[in-house]
Amino acid sequence: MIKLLVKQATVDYHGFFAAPAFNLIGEVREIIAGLSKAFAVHNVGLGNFRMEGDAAEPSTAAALVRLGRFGIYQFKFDQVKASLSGFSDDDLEGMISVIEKGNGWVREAVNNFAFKTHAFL
Amino acid sequence: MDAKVRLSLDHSLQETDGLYINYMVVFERDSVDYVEAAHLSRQLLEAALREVGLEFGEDQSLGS
Repeated sequence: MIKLLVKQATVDYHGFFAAPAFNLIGEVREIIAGLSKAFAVHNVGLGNFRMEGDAAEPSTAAALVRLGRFGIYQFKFDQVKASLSGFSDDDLEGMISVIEKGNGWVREAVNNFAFKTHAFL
Repeated sequence: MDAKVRLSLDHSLQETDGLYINYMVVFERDSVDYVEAAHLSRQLLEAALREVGLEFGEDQSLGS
């Protein structure tokens, strides 16, 4: 049996919505406040946030939260994404916890919400 | 697990004589137990790799 020596590893998670989060379009304050509260245990402040994309193009707009060793969590109006690189097994468990917390907020914040697909890469 | 799974093995473009492993697990439903999914997916990956004569080292964490 050949033993693998891992030199580089990345895990990406995508959660695609069944329908866009229409009620959150234009609600930057609610999105940042909601994600801040969801990730409060990680001592998230405004400095952890980055707003990306073009507000005039809802499909590109995103709120990204940096969570240190647990990677990043990104909210878009039609999906969420989490990414982690160069991690230990503990970090991976932390990433899963991040996904649970972030997705929990999404379910509460978006009207009539459901995921269509979850993909791990 | 009720998921679609794809495993790809190829030559690495970054590591000389290295392998590039791409592993994708897709759940086409609303709710997923993420912890269970992660554990089952990892077990499935390791089983699939063993089928082709590969395994992760005992003390290997997935990162550099």
